[in-house]
Amino acid sequence: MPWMIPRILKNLFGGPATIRYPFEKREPFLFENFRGRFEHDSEKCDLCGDCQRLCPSEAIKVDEENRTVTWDPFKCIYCHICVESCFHQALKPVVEYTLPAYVKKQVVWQVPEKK
Amino acid sequence: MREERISTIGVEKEVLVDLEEFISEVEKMAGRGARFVTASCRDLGEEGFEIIYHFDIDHKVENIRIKVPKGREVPSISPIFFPALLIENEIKDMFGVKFIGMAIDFDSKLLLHQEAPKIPLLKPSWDKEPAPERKIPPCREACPAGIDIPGYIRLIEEGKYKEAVELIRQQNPLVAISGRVCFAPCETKCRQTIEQSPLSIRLLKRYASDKAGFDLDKSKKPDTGKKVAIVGSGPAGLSCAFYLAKLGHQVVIFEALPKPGGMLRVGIPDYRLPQDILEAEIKTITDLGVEIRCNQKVESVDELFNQGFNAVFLALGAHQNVEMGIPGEDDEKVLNCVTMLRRVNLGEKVEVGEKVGVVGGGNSAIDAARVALRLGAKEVTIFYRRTRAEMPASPEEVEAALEEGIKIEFLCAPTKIERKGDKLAVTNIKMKLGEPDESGRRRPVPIEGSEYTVELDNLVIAIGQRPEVSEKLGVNIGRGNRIEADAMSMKTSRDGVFAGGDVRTGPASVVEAVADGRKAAIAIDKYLGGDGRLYVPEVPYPQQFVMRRDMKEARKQIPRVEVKKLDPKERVKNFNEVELGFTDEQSAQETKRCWRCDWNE
Amino acid sequence: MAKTVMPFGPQHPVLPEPIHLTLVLEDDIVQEVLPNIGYCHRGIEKGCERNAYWKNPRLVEHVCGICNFMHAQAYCEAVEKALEMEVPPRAKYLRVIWAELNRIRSHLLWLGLLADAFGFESLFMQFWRIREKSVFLIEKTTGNRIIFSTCVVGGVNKDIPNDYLRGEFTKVLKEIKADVEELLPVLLKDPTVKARCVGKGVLSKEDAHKLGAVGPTARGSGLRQDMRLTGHAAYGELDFEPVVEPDGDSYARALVRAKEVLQSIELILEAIGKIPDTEIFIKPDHWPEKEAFSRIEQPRGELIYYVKGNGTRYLERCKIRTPTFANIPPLLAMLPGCEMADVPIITLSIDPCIACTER
Repeated sequence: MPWMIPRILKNLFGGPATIRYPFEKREPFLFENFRGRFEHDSEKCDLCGDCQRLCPSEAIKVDEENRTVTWDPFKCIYCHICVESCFHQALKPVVEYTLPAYVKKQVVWQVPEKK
Repeated sequence: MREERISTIGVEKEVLVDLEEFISEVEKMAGRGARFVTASCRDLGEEGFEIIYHFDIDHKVENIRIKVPKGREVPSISPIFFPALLIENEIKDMFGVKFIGMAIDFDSKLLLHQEAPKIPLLKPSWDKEPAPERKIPPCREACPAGIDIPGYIRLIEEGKYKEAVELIRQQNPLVAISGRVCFAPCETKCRQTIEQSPLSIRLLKRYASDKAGFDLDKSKKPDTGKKVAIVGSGPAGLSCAFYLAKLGHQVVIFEALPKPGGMLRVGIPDYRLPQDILEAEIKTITDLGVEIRCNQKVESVDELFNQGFNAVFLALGAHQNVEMGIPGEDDEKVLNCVTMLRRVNLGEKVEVGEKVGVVGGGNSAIDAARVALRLGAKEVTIFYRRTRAEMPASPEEVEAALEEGIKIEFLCAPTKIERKGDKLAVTNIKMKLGEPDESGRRRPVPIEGSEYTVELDNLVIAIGQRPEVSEKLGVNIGRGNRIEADAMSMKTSRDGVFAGGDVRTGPASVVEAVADGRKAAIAIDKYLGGDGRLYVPEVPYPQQFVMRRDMKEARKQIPRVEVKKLDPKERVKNFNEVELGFTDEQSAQETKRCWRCDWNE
Repeated sequence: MAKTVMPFGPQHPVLPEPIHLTLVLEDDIVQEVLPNIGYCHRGIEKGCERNAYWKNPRLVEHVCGICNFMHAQAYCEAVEKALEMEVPPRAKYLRVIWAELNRIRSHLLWLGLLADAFGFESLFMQFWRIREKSVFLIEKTTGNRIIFSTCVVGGVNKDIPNDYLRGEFTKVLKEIKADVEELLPVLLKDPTVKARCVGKGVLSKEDAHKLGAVGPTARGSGLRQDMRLTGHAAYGELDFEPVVEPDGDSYARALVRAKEVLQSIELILEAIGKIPDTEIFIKPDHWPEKEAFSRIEQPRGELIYYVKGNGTRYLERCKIRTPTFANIPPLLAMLPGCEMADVPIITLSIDPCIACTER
């Protein structure tokens, strides 16, 4: 037990090791490499379907007749292969901690007609 | 039977044995102090199972492989190597292989629950989904001839120019010509138009043709004994002749003008398509044994059948100028666009005055205006009855015309032409745009009381062309003087007679006529008893494996390479070729920009 | 004498994942053990045959959460051997750095779980507080705290800039080292801990070799066996000697893992000093046609991948042999003869990762 004493004294006078989230957020929590959810830029997408062919878990689907892109955030494994490989860079990662949800809902993006 | 070989990478030694010698081989392994690692099993279907046992001796791996027919029992090695019992129980549960003499037999309680169904868990490996189809890239889909565009761009990047030209000739035999005059529907559908400019596909084709030269593949099938007559030596006729000659048929082309080429010779001026390039391209087709008879106009199809031909392809083209129908049009100073361009290209002398006006908005109107400038006119004006957005001419042509100093007046059209001494007095009326008509463009409506007069030396009527056919030919003629023919097989109302190109669709483009000629060649070959498969040389190019996310070179924002052209002030004095083509560095930079949309990972 | 049959698991406070052991007891001494696995089976080996071969690292990572980078690395090395291609040197060093970070994170997790198994909860929290610093490093360089997703066939897909490696990375590693050295005597010299670990679950050296033990289970019994000695990624160029303890009981295994944490930190610092400056990825240019075999040292032992390609974009067979699967027969030999209260500690001392066993 005497080996623990320096640690006990540090903990007594040092303050807690945890952070009271959501009142305080850790400063360097949000990095650029962060792999979370992403957003779709409808101006740049041309419905080529590359993201659908590359996804390992079939979470993103492209429908060419109705001009929609559907993303299921509950099947996605957040590996960001689609983000890195889109040629028009139409998928952009959002650096934000996502909260849990009550309802399983898919996200549908509509791509307008182009001239 | 015992066989030693290494077929697995990362393994020191491998032995393939029969079931009888299996246990003695395993005992030898135990004698050397090996450690059992694991066993892999694979279902081969009819032949049974293949089980590989892996052993480790001092950090090196050795394998023993056996093949087990279905229903046969395998002696277990767990009396010798105790840790093997777990994996053998797993193989028994998953695949249904029977083992005898196991140290502990879990009796399917290891992996499966007691109420689980007793079927093998791991199905054989040919139960896979079908591979996804290779995607057709949008540029290839937009091309009427269906040329494999990413394929030839890849070959150009590797420096294989002759192979690139042969790949293009599988779908379109007029490579050098298309690289100069094609209106490139592929470039409008290139996927890079959203952020950057599209890839210069047409100029890369011209670069490949310039580098490869005209000494190309001349192989063909042996002679079939059938003779085919082609009327007209335009792009449709030449392409049909090329494919039929490669299949071994004997082809004769009948051309009414003194020189072969059709609209390529007499419709496109020399500064866009020099005549020596046209001659060289036609020579690659006559080298296959095709005979072109010039100055021979064909009146009816029957005289061709009487001469012994087995099939006829009509590719007459559209060489008759459309008239406006306004009074004063038959004056000698009012020029016909088609006739004017034909006489200039065949070498005859054409006189124009100082002030010239051109009516029309298509490519032939722009050609007529630029030719008039080179013939000595000082001031050329184009009158078009709609606005610039609706002009059917290609934007590059309009830009080049404006650079040379040609003026364009929109929303006006002539109503009356009168003669005043040596000059013409043309009365124009202003237009405004009304409701859209059947082609989708807005109809121009004349504004009452807004006439004005312009004084000109010459006026050129260039509002369109029409095919020139008569009933004497012997086939059905449809609306607008076009021959009625099926769009896929080019068959007409008469058996053995086919028609394609401008004479079937009305005035269109070079590449559409070439596509028609190719389809007609397939149909004619089937009619003559063949199987319709074209004989073109195979061009094997390696399947490039593109990992899409790592094409960092192609995704850089590099602007499109601008091709060099002659100076506008200098070039109006002669008929030299205006576009100079790519240099080596320009082509290297441009080929790297391609995104390889026909990916194959 | 009455015999009792007692189930151990599937749910038990000391097990991170479910496994079922049927214990036959006589007067509080274990006589026989029968294992019963299959609670976590997901069919990943079959799933590997339905994806194109370059998508599989993302699937194979989800076999186990604690040791996921090693699965992706073993798969990529097996396919690269089947394709007969060489990975650039910088990619090899980056893979070593991430693999050793994974090992630090996993061993610190296990040390915390061992303390928690005795009821020593404050030490469990302290070990996990140190683990947070290593997870911070992983998040900063790869984007996620647990699943790495950086190993691909042909190299790696993310780069760590050199000045970051020499700056903040080294500073945090040294903090981890100081903290671990301060806390280890608390666990390893405490008399209560020693009373519960020393002499329990003994595995002799001959038994370990005969039963096929791998990893710290084998090294705690005196066998010098470590897959990093084959020199696969960049280990051939690093100065490395495996940690071996001769005793063979649970205390020796805990000592091996504790020393490996410090050894991994030394390896990373050495690799940072030697990392070259080349590209990090090479495109493969054909589909795999041959068979190949790769072996990696995971935190729990030796991981094996056997891969067979057949000339199309799909693999013919992908076989995974995880270390815990090989450590179960030694467990069946260790348990008879000990008391019932020792069973959780002995099971925990082989570091069971049942998700790996079941794939």
